[in-house]
Amino acid sequence: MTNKIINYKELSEGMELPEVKSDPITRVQLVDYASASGDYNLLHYDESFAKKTGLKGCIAHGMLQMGMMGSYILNWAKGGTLKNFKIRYLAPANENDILTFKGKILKKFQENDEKLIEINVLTETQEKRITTQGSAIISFNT
Amino acid sequence: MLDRKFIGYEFEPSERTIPRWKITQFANAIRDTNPIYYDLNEAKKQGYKDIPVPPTFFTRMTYSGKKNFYATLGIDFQKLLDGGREFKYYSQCVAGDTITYQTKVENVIEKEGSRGKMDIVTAITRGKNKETNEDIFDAIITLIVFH
Repeated sequence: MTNKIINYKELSEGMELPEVKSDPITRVQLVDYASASGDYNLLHYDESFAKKTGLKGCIAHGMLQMGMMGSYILNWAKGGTLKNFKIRYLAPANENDILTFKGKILKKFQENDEKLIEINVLTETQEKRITTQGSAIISFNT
Repeated sequence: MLDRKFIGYEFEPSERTIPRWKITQFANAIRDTNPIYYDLNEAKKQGYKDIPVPPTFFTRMTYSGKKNFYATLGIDFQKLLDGGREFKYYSQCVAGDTITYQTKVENVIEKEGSRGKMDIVTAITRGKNKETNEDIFDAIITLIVFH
């Protein structure tokens, strides 16, 4: 929470965002997210149910990952306003996985007097499995 | 194969007033410790009128109306893959706002891949601020349904 406001002039295409590692995704967090989001799919907190479907164990909600990725983006883009955010899912994140968030500035551009950047982001587990890939467009007034 | 009659189908609109505690609960669930989601004074210090919603909070408003989205379209969960999500943001939404939102099936297209034929379904939910009639968000969901 001590990142300073982004100076748009100092941003450049190809610049990498600092990596951030999450805490392990615990069963408690999966239950918290089920309740907060309303997604009570048993895959996310009933281990025997998840195993019956062929999974190793409980998996994180795709939208939980998107939520955490949104935090990663906004914590970095201090002073910016999110205009667009999209994600696709490549592999599940399992209970107890630690997610590393990475990002890179793809484009720096102006549109209708708005100062914008487009960034690519991804999440990777401790086993280097990429679970999601996404992109976001952020507007800066600075 | 999904019935093409659903292209353009609109679900009943819904309405939600956003309470502060629900935002805080959501922020905690995604383990975002930014105090703006927990403390009204912090939110105001950062220029918000009230506690703001985190960017994926609108996942709670992905499907409008009383009818189940999947049952209505006849989507079999065993044949379904999440093809991705997208949000577009127009105006800030904070606690106390009443949002009206409506889901529309944008398109159903057939594609063929290594796993055979599938339908790509896109649905868009537009959320507006009830009081000001401002657009707040679009939530776009892409579903892959194998034949």
